[in-house]
Amino acid sequence: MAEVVKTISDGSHIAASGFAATRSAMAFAHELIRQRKRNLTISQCIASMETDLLVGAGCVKKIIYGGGRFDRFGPFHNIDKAKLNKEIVAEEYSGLCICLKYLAGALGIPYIPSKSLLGSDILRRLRETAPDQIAETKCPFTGETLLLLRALEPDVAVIHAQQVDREGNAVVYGPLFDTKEKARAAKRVIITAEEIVDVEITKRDPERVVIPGYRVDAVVYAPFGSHPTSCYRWYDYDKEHIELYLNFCKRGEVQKYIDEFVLSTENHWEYLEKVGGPKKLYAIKADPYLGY
Amino acid sequence: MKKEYAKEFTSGELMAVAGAHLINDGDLVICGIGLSEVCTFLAIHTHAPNAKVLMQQGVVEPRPIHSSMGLADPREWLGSKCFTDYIDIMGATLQRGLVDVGMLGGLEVDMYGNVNSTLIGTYDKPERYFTGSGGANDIASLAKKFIVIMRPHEKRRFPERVSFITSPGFISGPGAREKVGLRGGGPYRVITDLAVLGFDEKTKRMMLLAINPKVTVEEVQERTGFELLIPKKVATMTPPTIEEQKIIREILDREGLYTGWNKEEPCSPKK
Repeated sequence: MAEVVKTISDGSHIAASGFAATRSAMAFAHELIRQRKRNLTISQCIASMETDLLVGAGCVKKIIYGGGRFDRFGPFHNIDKAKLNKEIVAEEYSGLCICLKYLAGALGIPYIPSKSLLGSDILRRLRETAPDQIAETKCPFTGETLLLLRALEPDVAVIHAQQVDREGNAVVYGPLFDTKEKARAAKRVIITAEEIVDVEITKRDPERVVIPGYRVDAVVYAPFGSHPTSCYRWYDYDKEHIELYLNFCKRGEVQKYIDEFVLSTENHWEYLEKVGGPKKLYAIKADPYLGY
Repeated sequence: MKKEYAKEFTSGELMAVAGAHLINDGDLVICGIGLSEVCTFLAIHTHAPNAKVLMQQGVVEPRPIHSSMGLADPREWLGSKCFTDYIDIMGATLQRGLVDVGMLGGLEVDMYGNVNSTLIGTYDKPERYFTGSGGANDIASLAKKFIVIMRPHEKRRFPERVSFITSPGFISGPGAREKVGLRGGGPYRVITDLAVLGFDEKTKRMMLLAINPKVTVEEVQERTGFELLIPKKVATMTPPTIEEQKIIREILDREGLYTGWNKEEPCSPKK
């Protein structure tokens, strides 16, 4: 992990893996914090825990996203506060518009039209703060008003997957939210995964592969790499730990959380010990029927 | 068959029933979690068995059995018929114009049905940021119609003009949606713990349609930050039938998280 994270330079644009409280690439985010990365841009369609933590750790300069909260657990305190105090730049759209921006990037076209955001203050704010990212025009064929969204091409997409093989073919279970588009829009793709399997295993079920190996640059073994967010069919979210995290954040003490769980641990294995070790990890293991 | 109505019920249950009755059989519905989900599943369990639930993270027709923490909670995905992705639901289905009903909540809703879920304070001087859009703007922009579920019904949540339009209603009045190029039909109903509100066809202003039996028309107006259009005859919100209440309490909201049936003071049909 440390080796792969070393390839991320300060100021990079990273498409983050998670969606609110699920499939966040937490192990990767922890290592970004340990290596004290700075001035990152983070994008994703809906905010997720790794982004909130990275913002809290001071690693982030800008977020490009469609809003979001930590489900019913609570708000993303660090993102919301950093926006208010102008410690980060927030380029804010809707969930669909981010997916469309990634799709344009993935298709290698400079922009994509949309029918969302029109007439909203989200669009008004974008006109004021990111005029080079949007344009309104009349459709040359039908004459209707279109919002043009500029393509998004992250430097790297970091996707946490349930399974990956040595060639990078990545299997993701559960709904995919913006996973496919952001991986294809990015210049590089890093997969962190619960399991690394033989290519022969992948070939038994190729329709499960969401990101083909030829697009993937690096693969990292990270079991429980989404903890404390959930990883469908592998483990449930760790409610207790999420609540603990939110309590630190709510009090404005995210740095204390980071000191205790990220900086005082040298790697992902030590982190897993720190949060409760095998006893905790078995307790959140998913039921094979329910998937959580 | 004559319907038998429950004798006691909560405001949350009234809201669930009001929402469910707006869903027609066969509708494609995009909802979130919470009360909007209870409304949708109540319709499916009763008069609209062929209505289909879509969720923005990429879940089609789920049948959750445990209460969830949100759209990202795998509890919400249980029993789905298809797992797909955001762009399939919100692009290829919603933007494509196929979604009949979208449900959303928020911090504020104004007289033209514009919804704010972004901030408190003002556009220029925010005091605190909240969720923002997520899929809410897309739903309001693109669904054939959308329903706002909002509680508690209080003055500060019903200002004349929302401090930030996250999700556009009729924006500034008649013709405004068309002028900016929006395709979707706009706001259809606002359901609160006190009332069901609609929009006047001509002026696009919010209009009182039905009230909770525990309040009067004057009280609803008192707790609204702008002048409501009030027709001569305002109906009373339909109470749940015994069957609907049983479905709410035994299947859809066993813990009473959303309808408060085991926590709140009940209301009864007559004052």
